[in-house]
Amino acid sequence: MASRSVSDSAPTAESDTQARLDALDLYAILDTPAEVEFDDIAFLAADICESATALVSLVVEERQWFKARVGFDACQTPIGQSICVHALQSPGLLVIPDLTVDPRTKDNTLVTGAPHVRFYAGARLETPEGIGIGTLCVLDDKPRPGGLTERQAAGLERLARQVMTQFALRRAIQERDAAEERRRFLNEELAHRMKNTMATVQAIASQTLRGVTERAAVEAFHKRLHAIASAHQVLLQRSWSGASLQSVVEAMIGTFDMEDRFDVSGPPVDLGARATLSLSLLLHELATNALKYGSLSSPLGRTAIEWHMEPVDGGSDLVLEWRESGGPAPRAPQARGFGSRLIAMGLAGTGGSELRYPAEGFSATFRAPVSQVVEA
Amino acid sequence: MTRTDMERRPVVLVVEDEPVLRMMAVDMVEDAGFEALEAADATQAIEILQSRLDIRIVFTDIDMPQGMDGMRLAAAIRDRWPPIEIILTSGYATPDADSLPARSVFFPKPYVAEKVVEVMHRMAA
Repeated sequence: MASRSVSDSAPTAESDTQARLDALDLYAILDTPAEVEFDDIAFLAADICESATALVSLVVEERQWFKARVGFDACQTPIGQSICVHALQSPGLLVIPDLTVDPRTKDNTLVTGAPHVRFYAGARLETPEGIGIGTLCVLDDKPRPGGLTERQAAGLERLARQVMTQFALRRAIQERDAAEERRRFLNEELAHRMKNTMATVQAIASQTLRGVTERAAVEAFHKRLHAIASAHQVLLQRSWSGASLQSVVEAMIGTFDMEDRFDVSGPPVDLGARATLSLSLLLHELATNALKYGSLSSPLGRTAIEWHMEPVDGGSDLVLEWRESGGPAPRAPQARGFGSRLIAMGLAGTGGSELRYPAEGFSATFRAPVSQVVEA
Repeated sequence: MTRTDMERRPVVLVVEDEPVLRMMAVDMVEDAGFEALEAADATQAIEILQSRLDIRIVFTDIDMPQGMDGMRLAAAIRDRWPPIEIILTSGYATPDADSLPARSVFFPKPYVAEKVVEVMHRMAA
């Protein structure tokens, strides 16, 4: 148990050890594969210090593990063989010109046996909180009474800071990825619950309204619920961040099973979640009317949906045209039901709709500031 | 084939853990002229499948927290009772086409009853 006894005598207080292990956990770097960023730094350190061996060494409880190594075979050593553990005690550089005479290292098996290390210089790898977690160190098989030159010492310390910068960047990227993953998961979970709730509302409605004789109203309710549900489905595909106008139009046409009766054209436009929902309801009402009274009620009638951007003062408007043809002559509705109110609310739920009833077919223009339809 | 055989209604097994949704699905199936059997989870569904040999279609939810989920149930059915047709539904995002069992059809929740029934009639024909 040689390593044990040295470990006991290693001058690290228990609390220091725990802080170091916690910091290492945070960086999640232990036992990861070699990476060129760290290999490069180790090579530079060896070059600058004119030594055959350089290591990025992290000191764990029972071992030291090397993230990068130049001229050293083992990827880790027992803590009892660690010289770095002594470098952890104080900030900056630890230089031991002759390991065979220093009381801390003269019995170390790396010194007494192969590879017969004689010289050590290690720059402490230090977290922003001042916790030493390891070193960037260079070794030599000959003692160096003069230690490192000033330039070598400064270079080694600078490179040690680079190692920590790389660790910090890795950690920031990992945290960002984890946060992104959580956000995506929560969005999906929320969307799922929402859809299940809608399914339950649908079930309760169909049970509650089972005896109602006015089936048209019941059916209208179910279809509107589905218009909203299909908008949710479209939104779910992009984690609820929004949807393309094209996909919203296609989802609506899909629910009516009338792909060949629509002519759709327009540039790519990204809608926010709110506009996605209101546009879905709007299109649903328009298509329902077309099916009941308009172009889709006759076998040859068609409906064109076109949109474009139009520059206006201080921005641009999204303009969407709905044009029916080949159906019976339309009549303006007498009563103002829920459907016509939804249509009047327009693209973003704030108005901007213009309805026309010429003999050749119903048509409508909807207009809303782009800023209103793209924001969530 | 006797007359009664020809008149017998095709049997649909509904698997859904939410009681209200199951109730609605059973109504939908019966209103469409099928005989409905119901199971609240995959284990019950397997028991019913083992005892009733006249089931034509299984209509199952995918997300069931207790035991086997609908995807695994569907895979088990494909394996043990290959002739049975499968319809899946879920409130989660639509599964990839290649993760669905052969000949199965998927509907996102909430589904349009008419469309599900249409597929059932086609499968039972």
